[in-house]
Amino acid sequence: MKALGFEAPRWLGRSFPFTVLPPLKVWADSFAAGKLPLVKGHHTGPVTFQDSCNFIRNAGFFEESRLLMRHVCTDLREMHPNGNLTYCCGNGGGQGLMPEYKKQKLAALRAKAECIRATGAELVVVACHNCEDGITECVKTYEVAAQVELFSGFLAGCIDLSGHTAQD
Amino acid sequence: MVVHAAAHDADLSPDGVDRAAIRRVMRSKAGARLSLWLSICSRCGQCAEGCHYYASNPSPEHVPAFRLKPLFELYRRQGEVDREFLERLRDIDYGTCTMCQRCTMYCPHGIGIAPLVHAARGVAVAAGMIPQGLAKGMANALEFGNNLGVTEEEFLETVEWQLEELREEMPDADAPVDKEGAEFLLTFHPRDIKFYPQNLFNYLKLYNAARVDFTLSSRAWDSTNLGLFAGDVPTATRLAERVVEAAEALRVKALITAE
Repeated sequence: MKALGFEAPRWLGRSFPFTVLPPLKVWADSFAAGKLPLVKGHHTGPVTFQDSCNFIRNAGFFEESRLLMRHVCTDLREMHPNGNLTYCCGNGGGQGLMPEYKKQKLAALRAKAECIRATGAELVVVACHNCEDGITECVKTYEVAAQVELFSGFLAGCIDLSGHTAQD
Repeated sequence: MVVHAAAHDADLSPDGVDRAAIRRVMRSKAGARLSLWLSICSRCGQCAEGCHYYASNPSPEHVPAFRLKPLFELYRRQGEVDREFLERLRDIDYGTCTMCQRCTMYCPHGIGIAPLVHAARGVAVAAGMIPQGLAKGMANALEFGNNLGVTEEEFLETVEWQLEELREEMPDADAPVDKEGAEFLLTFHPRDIKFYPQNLFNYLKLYNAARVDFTLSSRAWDSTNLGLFAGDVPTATRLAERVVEAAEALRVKALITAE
């Protein structure tokens, strides 16, 4: 998102004849238009959401993420801080590919771990691959009893398939 | 920020730093924005509250403004630095920042600390000090079009395989490849293809469930950009251009990035 959505027009010195969107924006728009059938309240366990720096703080899609989460979850618990002020997953800026700095990265995840722990959530939904690794390392390092799942997989499990199987 | 040209082409420090290359990249990064930001940072420290490194371990070297010190020094010294200086720059700017930009929300001047860390990383790249993991991913991306070195054949096979799986529960599912005029171009993180094809399955399921008019590109499906992380703008530009050209050729209205 950051590379193609924000930086690329400047790197290449021209504007593009298409827009650049993160997946969760497309899912939220489809859902709001009544096109994405998601089962309301499908997920009943306590769950929290990691606001990715790229899609939330930098691209501004907080409301889109919550529109979807509030629909499919009955027990959505916010971290504090959250949204634009949420702490980083620890894995941005290529930290996932720099094992030489892993010790500092894990040490810096203490604050995030306590945010997650305080929610009591059993699942952290993450909308970014870097966040997926960062939050997984975070809960493991600080022994927070929570699973981590990509937003795509989480939502795919909430799809109401009746419209598709009925045609078969 | 004025960076004077070297008196002669070969300008090596006693310990082998190519100062001419350092000055070239310094000139490419210099501009009103960088100059303004470096000069107005008053070291007030309010950015400290913005950083998760600081929140987890409140020591002076975890105050975001501290990460600007090597860059500030570099310009002040007109690139007259040695290897030890650059190694320190590298370890501070790659090793203690995720470029998440949270600190900017706490800066009274709105200084873009992450873009400055990015510029500092670019200097490390020019000095040949890019972290190996990033360098390897970038080399893959340049050679194969994705940072995990997946071939086009492997990509197409994986798409076909996951579409077959999806049709078990969604018989009318489709995954058109290189379909001109589709509304959306779908792109991925290469591990969705190489290591976690279930992710690809989930994406196809979501877009089919929403009956979105999408296509995949056989040649440009990785929208990650390690050049961005590395601070290597020429490589970042080449990687972005590949995806942009594919989206233009397919005449899509929107490009959906990797999750």
